[in-house]
Amino acid sequence: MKSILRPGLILMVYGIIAGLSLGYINSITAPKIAAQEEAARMAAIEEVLPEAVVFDPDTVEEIEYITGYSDEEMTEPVGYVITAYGNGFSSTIRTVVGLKLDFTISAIEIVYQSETPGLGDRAVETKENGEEPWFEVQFDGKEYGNLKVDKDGGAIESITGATITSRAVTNSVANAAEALAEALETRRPASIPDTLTELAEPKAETEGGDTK
Amino acid sequence: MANLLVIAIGAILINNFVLSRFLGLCPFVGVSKKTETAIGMGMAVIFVMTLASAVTWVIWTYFLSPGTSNIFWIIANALGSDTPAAAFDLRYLETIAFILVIASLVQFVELVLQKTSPALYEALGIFLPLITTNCAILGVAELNTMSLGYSFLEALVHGIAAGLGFTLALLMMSGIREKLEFAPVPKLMKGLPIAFIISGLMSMAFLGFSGLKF
Amino acid sequence: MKMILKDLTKGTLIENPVLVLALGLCPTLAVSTSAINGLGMGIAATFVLVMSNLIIALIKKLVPGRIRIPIFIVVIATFVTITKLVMAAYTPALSKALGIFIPLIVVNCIILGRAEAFASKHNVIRSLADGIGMGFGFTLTLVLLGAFREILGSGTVFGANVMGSSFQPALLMILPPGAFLSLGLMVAGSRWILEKTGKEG
Repeated sequence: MKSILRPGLILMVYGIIAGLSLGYINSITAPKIAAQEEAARMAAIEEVLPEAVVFDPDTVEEIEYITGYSDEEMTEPVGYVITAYGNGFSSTIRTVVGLKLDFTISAIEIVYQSETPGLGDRAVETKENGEEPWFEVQFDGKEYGNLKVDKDGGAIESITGATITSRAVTNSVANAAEALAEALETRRPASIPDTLTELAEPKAETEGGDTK
Repeated sequence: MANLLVIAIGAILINNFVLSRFLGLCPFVGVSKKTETAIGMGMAVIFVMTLASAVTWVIWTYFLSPGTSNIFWIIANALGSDTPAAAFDLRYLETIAFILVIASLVQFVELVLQKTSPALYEALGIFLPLITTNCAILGVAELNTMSLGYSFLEALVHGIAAGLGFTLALLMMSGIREKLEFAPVPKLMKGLPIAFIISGLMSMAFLGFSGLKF
Repeated sequence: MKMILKDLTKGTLIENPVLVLALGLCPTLAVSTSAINGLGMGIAATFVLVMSNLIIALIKKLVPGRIRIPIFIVVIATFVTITKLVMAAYTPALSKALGIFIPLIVVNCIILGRAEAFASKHNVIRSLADGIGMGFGFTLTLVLLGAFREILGSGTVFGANVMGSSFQPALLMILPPGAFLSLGLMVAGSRWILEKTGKEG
């Protein structure tokens, strides 16, 4: 019995030392990582809905979305922002999607992916040269209804050698847009756009709005 | 159900762990000289990978992830603490927890096999210690939880299929290398280099599977 | 002194961890799609290797023989996690590019191999030198392989265009088969150099 107990205790001591030192390091890095992710998320939201200046988060049928307004008083909605999740090759890809009021896509930005270096991660390439990332730009102004990659007969040119990644982004964006469109259409008829502002205003007082 | 099939086919053929994800290459190159040892290693990997997928998923979901299913939060809550569930975030310990779980699991399997099934132990015994440092095992655990966020069943299927994919690649490789013994390979290319070239050709063939549509 | 110098340089070619010892193959093949990814991975692994060699050489007398491997793994996993957290906080782009291969440094056979074969038997200074030497050899191999694949597969090195605009990149080199083919050729090349210089036994 003693022969098992002693090594076990020693191993436990090492484990505790390791755990405590990692806890300490984590307490330093965790806020930095969180701040960075939040900054990247905010930047992405502003990027995909450039006309909006005020953003107001809300939930409809368990879908979290953000309504963007072009004025501080939140009377002029210009579109919505949602996050789409797609199962890629080696990660769940998170894409922030900007939608106009008629639910055509304003722009998209992939905020998290851990796809194969050199292949799937080309979904976000050419940022360094100051150019727009070619894969994401293809989505601008598209309708969600016929959003497909070229291999499935759609208009989105897929990344060479990374069809799984391309398909994951494209389909997740289409599904997320469709889900939000359906949820919002059933809640308030699209034919009366004025209700949008009426619904939004009382919210502005209670929550104060989420300014950047 | 269809989803599980997609995961299985994906892990065996399309994203073969060895030939496309580059996981488990050390044993792939190291024990692929004979078909017999390749089978032994393959079986041991499938066995441990399936167990490891299940156990690491439970650890990740109930011990490390923040939220109301975190066991530490449940205990703290029952004791009357009102710390929010989001504060119990131990995800940064994931690497160290997973590798320790896998190492103990391998030891445990070795012990159980020795006691209960001497024949199986005879066949797989010498491969088990090598498995702890097989990155395919830790790789499948990381993919299941951190990267792809699978459910328990999905993680389990992914684990089995990844092991099958590894075994498939290992068996093919060993078959080719046994024949290669009689081929006039240039001296510089003998052994490791030619093994890599063959893997490259196999990997090229497996690229064809990415055309599979569901 | 002479021994330390030898420990520092052997990893470059004579005992190159990847090309000669065939260790650490998974990250080598997976992240060498570009020179910069190779460099990032090499530096991360070198840090873990040097630190774990240092700690293991320091504590080797406090480690009972029977449970030395689990303890080595705990030490290595701790430094890997530190690397992972620091990279995620300060170099998020690189951290995203390397993905799961950062946590997988834990099972990189080079690191446990050096801990077991070298650091647990030698003094602190030599273990440090061994870690730096092996880490350098690993990094060099990754950068060379990455540069080779990047030039042929994308026409660039470290992101800078070197092949001119008329160059048609051979995409295969970036894809998995290219990794295996390039590494096979590189191992053969290193053997050829060793043979020419007559350094092999």
